[in-house]
Amino acid sequence: MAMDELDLVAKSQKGDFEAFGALYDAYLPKIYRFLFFRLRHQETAEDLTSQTFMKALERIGSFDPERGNFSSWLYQIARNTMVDHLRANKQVVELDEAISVASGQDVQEETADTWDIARVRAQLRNLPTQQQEVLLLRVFEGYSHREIAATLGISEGASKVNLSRAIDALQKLLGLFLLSFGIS
Amino acid sequence: MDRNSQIEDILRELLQQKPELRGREMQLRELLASLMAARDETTPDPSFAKNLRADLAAQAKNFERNYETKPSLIFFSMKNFSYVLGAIVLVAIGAVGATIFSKQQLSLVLGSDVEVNRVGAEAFGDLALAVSTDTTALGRGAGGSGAERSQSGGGSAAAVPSAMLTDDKSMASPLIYPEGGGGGMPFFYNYKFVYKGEPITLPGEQSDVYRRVKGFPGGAEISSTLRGLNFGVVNLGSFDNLQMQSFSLLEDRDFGYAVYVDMQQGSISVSENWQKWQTPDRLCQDDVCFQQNRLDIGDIPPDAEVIAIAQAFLSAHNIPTDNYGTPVVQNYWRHDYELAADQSIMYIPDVVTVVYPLRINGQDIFDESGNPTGLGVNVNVRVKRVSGLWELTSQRYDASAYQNETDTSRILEIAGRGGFRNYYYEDPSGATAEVELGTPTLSYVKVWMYDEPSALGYELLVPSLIFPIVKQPENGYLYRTSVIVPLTKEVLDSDQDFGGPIPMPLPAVMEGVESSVVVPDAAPPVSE
Repeated sequence: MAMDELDLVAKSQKGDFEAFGALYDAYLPKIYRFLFFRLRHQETAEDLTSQTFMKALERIGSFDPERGNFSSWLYQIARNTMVDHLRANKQVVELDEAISVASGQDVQEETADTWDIARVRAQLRNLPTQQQEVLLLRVFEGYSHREIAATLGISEGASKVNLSRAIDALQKLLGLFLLSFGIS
Repeated sequence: MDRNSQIEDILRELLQQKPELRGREMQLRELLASLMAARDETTPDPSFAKNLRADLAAQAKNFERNYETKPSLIFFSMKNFSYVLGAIVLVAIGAVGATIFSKQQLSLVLGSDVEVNRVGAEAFGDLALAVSTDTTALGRGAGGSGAERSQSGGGSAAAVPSAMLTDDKSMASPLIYPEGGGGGMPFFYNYKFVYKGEPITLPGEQSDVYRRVKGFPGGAEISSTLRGLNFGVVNLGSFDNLQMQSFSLLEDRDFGYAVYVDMQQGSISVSENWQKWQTPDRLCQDDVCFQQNRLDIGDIPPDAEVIAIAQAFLSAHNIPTDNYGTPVVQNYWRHDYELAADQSIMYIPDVVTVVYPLRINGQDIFDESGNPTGLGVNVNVRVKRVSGLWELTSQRYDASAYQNETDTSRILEIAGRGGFRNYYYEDPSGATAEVELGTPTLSYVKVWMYDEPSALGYELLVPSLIFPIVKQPENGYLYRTSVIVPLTKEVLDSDQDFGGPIPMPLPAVMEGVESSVVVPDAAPPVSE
């Protein structure tokens, strides 16, 4: 049964776990992607994803739709959880593990097309943090710049500039890739 | 929204933001498609997803049990806190060829001096409409952005929480609630912006808004020359009234540059000729290689060295900096880096940006985030060379008088909620951190204005108060140094419609422009 997000939030606030579960199902991949994209470490991304949803479950009653939308609220929890983690914990990224996770998720890695996709993904990580976040939210998740502004605490203009610069940088970083497809 | 529609949506947005990208739409579509394809492959492990769902269900039951005996827990118990360049790109080689072929000494002068042409009052149209160009309102997910969002139906229209002015010195946000729940680290910070400065003096009922005049003086000359070109396969002279809109030139050497001249916008940008910039990291095909080529904090030169590299480049290319303030290095990434417990995993960028703040009549120009904006120079610290330059533009402006907001309490109220278009979500369950604002300075903020009918973007310089953040919590999540509040009433009014539909189309901005008279170095009426 398709339910409006606001209805799901309202029901979650009244203790309906099925409603919260529907929100979880909708947002889990996004929140996980957001965290994994920044951390490049499966276990840490999973741990922080868990913390994010636990906090959301605990605080769903305090969410006020008049103040903003649910996704901005949830992304803020995820982002703040990640920032706290980075500030408080020593983390050793096991490179081989990170790589195996990344490549293991790509079932089509062997094909020529996804070889290039892997390169795109690798180059994304070479962007400044804020550009990564804006690009992820705008291009990967389809958020508007206003929503991104609400999520990241930057201005709408800054969000647009960050996206523009990220695209510009990627064009250069992926120059050879584009050339190989004859579209330079 | 399907993937193609989303690509077109983002492409349109990029072209609005950066008209010089026109003509490269195909490349951009390919890039955006590649990015979206890259997204699909990162998904949580199914067993992790299943287990977490089960854990959440169990936790929900715990909350429920606890609630029966301890109703202060938030889940199930919180009450609703209600409030609440279709550009024709003529071939660059043609431009060069035309110049060389004709042996003419063409002069395209952007002009380094600031020129101000006074035009009639409110000549740029209704700024309340013009500056609000985001057609996707926050929380209106339906038909908005992204296929995956359609199922959620979007959220509600969000309202910027209003703050009541308590007195001239202090502004209290209504978002001050006791922290509920089980304690521990707060994961939300709400910011209470408290004004600690001197009483504010406003400049008067009207101030000039500036709009940059686009285009190159003398551009007609090069267009005329090009119209005489006959390539053999086509004679440009057979077309009527051809106008050059842009051209680009590539420097054919190692670490050479690409120079892009936008005749329509009156701007020049420089970027890497990427085919000639082959640093080891650029050749990486996998993450192992990237990790091996990651920079260390020790690779970042001191700011003075970076600025010296930028300055040497500008000098070598006769780029004057008379209209710019003292250059500053923008290194916002250092904020996260300095606070990280394990700094070894933090990203160290290979490009450091130097900004030469634009100054008009002695006043710095800021962006909407309150950061100085102007001529930007990127320095690639791997090779210690300038790798890009942008916002080298003509400095000719039309000045038109607009009504100012004269209600000090409204200005302080907006500052108290974090300034113009501050959409940061605030949560009553979070901790409230106090942010102190100092006495504002009067300056200009660059705001983009997009004219939908003509598909042209304009830069407006809007007189604004810049409130410096003089104190903020060390461990918060605020990444700003100031709060801005525009003084132009129509611009301020555009912020009232937060979350609502944006009226379209925009007005024709050129209507009502009176005859222009060049008044070199005219002083704007806004002063401190």
